Order: sequence, then C-alpha cells, then structure tokens
Amino acid sequence: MPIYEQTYRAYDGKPLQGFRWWVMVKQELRILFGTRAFVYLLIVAVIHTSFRVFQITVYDMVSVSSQTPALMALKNVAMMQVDERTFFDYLRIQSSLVFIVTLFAGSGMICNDFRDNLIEIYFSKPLTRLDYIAGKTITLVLVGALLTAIPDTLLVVLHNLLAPGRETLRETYWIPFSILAFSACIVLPCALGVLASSALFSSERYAGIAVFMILFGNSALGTALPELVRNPNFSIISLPMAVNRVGETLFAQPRKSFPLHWGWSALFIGLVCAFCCWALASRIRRAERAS
Amino acid sequence: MSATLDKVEAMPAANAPYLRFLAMSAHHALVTTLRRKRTILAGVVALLPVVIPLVLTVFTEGAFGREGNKIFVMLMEDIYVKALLPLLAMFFGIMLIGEDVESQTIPYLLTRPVPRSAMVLGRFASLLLIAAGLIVPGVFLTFAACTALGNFAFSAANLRLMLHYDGALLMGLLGYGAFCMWLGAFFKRPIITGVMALFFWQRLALYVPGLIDFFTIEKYVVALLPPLAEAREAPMLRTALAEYQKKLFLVGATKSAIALVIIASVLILLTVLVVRRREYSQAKAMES
Amino acid sequence: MSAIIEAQGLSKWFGEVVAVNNLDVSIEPGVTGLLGPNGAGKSTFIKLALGLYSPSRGTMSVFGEPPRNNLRVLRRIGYCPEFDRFPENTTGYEFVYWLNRFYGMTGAEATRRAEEACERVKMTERMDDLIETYSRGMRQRIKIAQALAPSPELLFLDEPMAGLDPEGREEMFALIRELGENGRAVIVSSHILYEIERVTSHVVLLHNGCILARGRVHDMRELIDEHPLAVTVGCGSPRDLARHFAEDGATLSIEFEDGRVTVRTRDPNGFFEKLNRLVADKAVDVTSFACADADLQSVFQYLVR
Repeated sequence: MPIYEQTYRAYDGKPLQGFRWWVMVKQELRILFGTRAFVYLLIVAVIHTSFRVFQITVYDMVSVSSQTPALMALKNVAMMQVDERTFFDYLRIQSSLVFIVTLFAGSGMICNDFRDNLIEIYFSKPLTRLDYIAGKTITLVLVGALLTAIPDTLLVVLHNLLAPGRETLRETYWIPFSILAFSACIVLPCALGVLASSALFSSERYAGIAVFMILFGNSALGTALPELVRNPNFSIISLPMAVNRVGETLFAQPRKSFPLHWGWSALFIGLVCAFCCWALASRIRRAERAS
Repeated sequence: MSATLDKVEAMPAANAPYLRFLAMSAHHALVTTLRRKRTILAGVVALLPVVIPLVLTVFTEGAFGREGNKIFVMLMEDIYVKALLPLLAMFFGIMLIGEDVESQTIPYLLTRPVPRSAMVLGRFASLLLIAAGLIVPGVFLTFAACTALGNFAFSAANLRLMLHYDGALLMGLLGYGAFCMWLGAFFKRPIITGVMALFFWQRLALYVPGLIDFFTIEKYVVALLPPLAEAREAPMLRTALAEYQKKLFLVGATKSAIALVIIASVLILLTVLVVRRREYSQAKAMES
Repeated sequence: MSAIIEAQGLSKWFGEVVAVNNLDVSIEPGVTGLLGPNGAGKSTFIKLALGLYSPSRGTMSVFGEPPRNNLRVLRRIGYCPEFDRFPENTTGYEFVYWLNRFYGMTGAEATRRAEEACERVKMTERMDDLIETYSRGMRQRIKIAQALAPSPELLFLDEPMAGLDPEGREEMFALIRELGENGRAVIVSSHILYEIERVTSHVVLLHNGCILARGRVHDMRELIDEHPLAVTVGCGSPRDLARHFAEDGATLSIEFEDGRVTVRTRDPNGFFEKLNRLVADKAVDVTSFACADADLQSVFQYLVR
C-alpha cells in the first residue's frame, strides 16, 4: 500500500480566478462585526459624525434660508463654520479612533492564526501568500475607511445636498479626493503597522503594546526633539505629525506644523508602509515555507 | 510510560511557607520575562533617550553647549515620566497575569496550591524589578550623556536631582504597574482599555478644569517631580514655586507618594480578588 | 468506601448554555471513567472539581471540602488538562519544574521530582528541548508528567489519550490502571468508549450535562433488560448448541456463521448459567465466546436512545 505524506501542503494547483482575498475579508469582517466591543467602538465614532452632521445641517440651513440675526450670528461662530477645514478636522479627530479600532481589530489577526495553526490550513487551500496579506490588510483598510473616508465623503455630499448650487460644488468638488488621500495616509500605515506587529509577535497583547509603544515613543520623540535642537523640522520623525503635514497640504490649510516640504512627510509615510509590508511579507513567507 | 510508582513519594501534607511561594512566584516571573526576546525591545525603547544627548554632543558647542541641564530635565519629565513610564508599565504589567490568560495556561497555575495573593504579589515584584532594571540604568546613562553637554556637571547636587527623578519614576512605576496588572487580569482586551485610560483619559483629565485630574496617576507622579528643576540653583525661587506647585496640584510630594502607595495597594488587592473570583478557562467558549 | 468527590444538585451554566445539569454523584477511590460525547459536560465537571469554576447551583466537595481556592484540596490534586497549551519558550523539564515549585517544593525537590516524572513518561531524552519542538504525543506526555510529579492522591486526566500513538496509549492504560491499583483516585475523561473500557469498569456516563448512568459497565448492561444481549459462541457443533437455547423462552433469535452461533437473549444471567452447565457437562465443545454488544458503545447508545 503506498504511503503518502499526510501533512498540510501548499496548494500547487492552478489558482482560482477572481478576488480570492475577498474570502479572507468577508471572514474577518464577519468576525469583527460579531464582536460587541468592536460595534461599541463604531458607535463612539458615530457620535463624532453625528455632531458634524448637526454642524453642517445648521450651517447650511442658516446660510440657505434664514434671515434671523441670531441664526446669522451662529453662522459666524468659527466652530460651526463649514469649509475644507471641517472635513480636515473630522479626519484628524477620527485618526485616534482609527488607531484604536485598528489595534483592536488587527493585533490578533495574524498571531492568532499562527497560534491556532490556521496559516497551514489557509495555505493548503488555493490561497497565496499575497491573497492572505491582501485579505488581512484590506479588512483593516475597509474598517479604517468606515471611520474616515466614507463618512467624511458623505458629509461633503450632505453639505452639497443641503446647500445646493454651483458655488458649493466649486468649493467642494476637490475635497473627496483630498479625503481619500488623507484617509489613506492615516489608515494605511496604521493597518500595515498593526499587521506587521501581529505577524512578528506571538501574542495579541504584545503585538498591540509593541505597536502602541513604537507609535507613542515616536510621537514623544517627535515632540521633544524639535524643542531640544530648536529645529521644528525634526517633528517629521513623528508619524502623526508627518501625516498631519500631508493633510495640511491636501486640504490647503495654513501650515501649523513644521516647515519642511510635505513631500518629505509623504516619503516618510511611504517608507513606513514599505517597511511594514516587507516585515509582514517576510514573516508570512517563512510561515508558508514551514507549512 | 514506566511503571515505577513507588519511586515517587507523596507530597507532605503541610503547605509551604507563604514567603517561599512569594519568592518563587517572583523568581518564575523574572526568569520567564527576562528570557523573552521582547524584553530586549523594551530595553531598547527604555534606553532610546540616552541617544538624544549623545547625538546633541555631535552638534556644535555653540548651539547646545550650555543646555545639559535643560535637556536632562526635559528628557526626564517629557520622555521618561510622561511617555516611557506608562509604556513600560503597560508592556510588562498587562502581561503579568494577562499572558497566562491569553495563552490559556492559567489553569495550570490555578490548580496548584499556591496562595493567589502570593502569586500576584510575586509577579508584581518581578515587574518592579525588571522595569526598574531598565529605567534606573537608562536614567543614569541619560544623566551621564547630558554631562557631556555644558552646564551640567557630574556633581553631588546633580546626582541628587537624578536620584529624585529615579525615586519619582519608581513611585510612578508602583502606581502604573499595579493599574496595568489589574487591567491585564480584569479585561479581555486590556491594551485598548490601557491605551484609552493612560493616554487619552489622562491627557483629557489634565486639560479639563476642576478636580477630575485626581482620577489620574500622572497627577501624583508629576507632583513628585523636583519643582522647577531647571532653575534649582535659585533656592528662593524654588521654594516659592514649590509652594505654588503645591497649590496648583492641591497635593504635595508626600501626599502624592502616599496616594500612589494607596492606589497600588488597592489595585493589587483588586487583582488578587479578580484572580480568585474569575473563572479563567477556555472551556466556556468551547462548550458554548 | 468513602467518597472522594461528592456533588449534590450540581449545575453550571454559561449564559444560556447549561454545561452541567443538576448532578448528584459521588466518586470513590480507584479509577473512574467520565464518559460522554463532546459537550456532555465532562471537562466542566472536572473544572468544577478542581475549583476552576464555581457551581451555578448545588454543591461540590472534594475530600470533604469545597475545592474553589482551597489550597488544602489543591495540594492533593493533580490535573492533566485537555487543552494543548504551554508557556512560551519553555523546555519540558522547566515546565514540570516550575509547576512543582508552585506546589511549594524546594528547588532541589522540584528538580528531583521533575526528572522522575519525565522519566516515568519516557521524556528524559527530550526534556531539555523546547516544548514548541515536541510532537503532539510528547506534549501529552509532558502534561501527564506535570500532573504526576507531585504524586497527588487524586488525579484528573482530561482526555489523556489524545495525541498518543498506539504504543503510548497502551503505556498510558497500564499507568492509569497501576495508579488505581496503588490506591490513587484517578478520574479519566474521554469520549472514546474503548479507552475507558481499557482502564476501568467504573464509569459515569454523561450526556447533555446530565448523568445517564453510573457504576460498572456490566451492571449497567444488565439494567437494560429491554435490550437483548448478543453472545457469539464459537464451537464445534453450532447446531447442537443452538438446539439447547432454542427451547429457552428468553432467547429472541439465533444466527449461524462459520462455526459460530450468535444468540440474542433477554436473560443474560440465565444464558451464562446454562452455557456453564453445558460446558461442564461436556454437552458442547465451546472454543470461544464474546458478548457482541456488552461494550460501552452499546450501553451508551441504548441509554441515549
């Protein structure tokens, strides 16, 4: 009787056509939305969005129809004004939540697969390493987009619906592109960083702490170093500040952060993403070989 | 499996002394933590501030030559106290009990006749030892590196300042460490709770006017710091500002130290209660 | 014999799931098999006895005391869990050594007992390797070693045969039997009936958190009088043998097969008495006989049905 190897083997048949990573995305999203704590975090995000909806509604209703002096005065209150800064601020505030939610959703995504020997099972299916990484990353990007790009773009649409006209359109047509780019700058390093940490650490908790430690330590250094060397450009070593610098440019905001050209910040963000991708891919590659 | 049952005699009926359990628990936690590669990561992070004054020495004398004192104080207060201390407490504290919960090995320990309080206290002692073992040399190396810059000699007064910071950091470690250990034992996802409590709530509470900042650990740690450390050479000003600080924070250094000890004691007690009462086991999920 | 474990009205539920439902059971020294399909409540019962869970209702006592957070009880207990989890970056020896230390042993004693326990489970050669490098069977052995090391009076073995190869299983069966013979109380849980049958005839049958039956397998079989006992007898003249039993009112059916005859009877005791008599009188030449459905599998199926 012939004896065959009984361990899991990488699938060596012809890969199936289509978006194979979508299976991973669906599975991860199903798990996440089945977690109560995750839903609570999303509800927290809704609170901020609701405030912005209120702000835009009041502002637009006042600008379009009201002649009441009190309401006109309200329109001039800086906090209630709606312009590109509103959408920029929305994303900036959401970025903290994006980090928390990504940490919640992503820190166990890969290390738990390692712990439960799921990697071997995944790679014994018609699923490549790229599909696996793409599936995990896209899940986190979608979750991030759910907190940033999607609601912010909807706010722009709401603004246009409540204050219809060529002027509003002229003022806001470019904002969705900026939202998309800025959201990518917020979400991508966050998602890739958390996934890389999850791949490198064997424990979900350590993965979470490590990524937070690096980000927070990096921000602390980014705050202290410019003061110590009396050169604000050293702020670029802080990832949140670099992201902010790109955001200022994308939303045509007056520069409040360091004066260095925004391109350097974009390059820094790109390098962080590339490093995380490399760490992630090399760890998964090793696991695939081992399986 | 060999049939040699008679070789192993039964355990004596009397339990071992409490202190042996305490020392053994600390020893075990110390050995396992020090062996982990991730402890090296924590060590690297703890020693990062040392690099800053060293890098600055490369710059010209004119730019940073007179800044040693200022740089040391800034590194201590902004980096060590506000960033590194809670980070290291989180890194080690959350996993003290949490690691066994997460890796589902806690039933091995809970089926041993070890007093739960000895287990928790022993592990907490190991946290203090390891974190202090990273922070104290880090502070000393930062101090030594800052003396390479001007206006900061290797003098007794400056050494006292360094020891003052060491003391404040260790007291802070007591509070933060106990808090993180409790988080790790109590919450299923302690990282998110820890990040929110230590880095969002503490920041928010310190900005909000009123007495809300009494519900933070940072308030008591900051109150322990040497008042106006940068201008400590002027005793009159120092005394006046110390009084001002006391009024501003509504607590002096002694009260803060007592508050931190009370916070740590209460949280350790809560952790013991959690470990005694919580039904840590994976079977719940499996069976349901 | 006084009971080591006693449960009265014991229930445990997790949310809406009832894992153990109103159990009244007492377990005496010796080897006891805890038997039931997955989700029957075996592990929950063991965890209640270990004090890892507190009962939702009812009482549980081990050595006459409630086990939860009770160091006196825990000192007399050993536990080999069903889960395959170990501390990270630890060798087999260190694993057993540190768990010995948690018994309050001195370093020297913990070392000696760890080495002896590793030897007993034939892990001496590999005990200094990291557990991550062990096979499933080795991990199972090292788990058993940590449970045996303090030489406890009461040993809980939750699915101890999982992952062991046939040779390992046989060794495990022998070890469990020997522990029982030496006066230790051993509670072995399994969902595989054959495994329990190999180590003990005393079983507690659990299903959906309830006790279906408790006692000796053979006694249980007799209780199920509505189910006939099928006995296959090998003999030189099957027809002669069949003729003796065909007259019996308790016989339900007789089947012939290659020098063997299978008799289904409603009165097992009467059948065996008659068979003994026939053999003694040399009326039939019996070469073999086996009860076709007296094993636990049949008992369990009958009871569940």
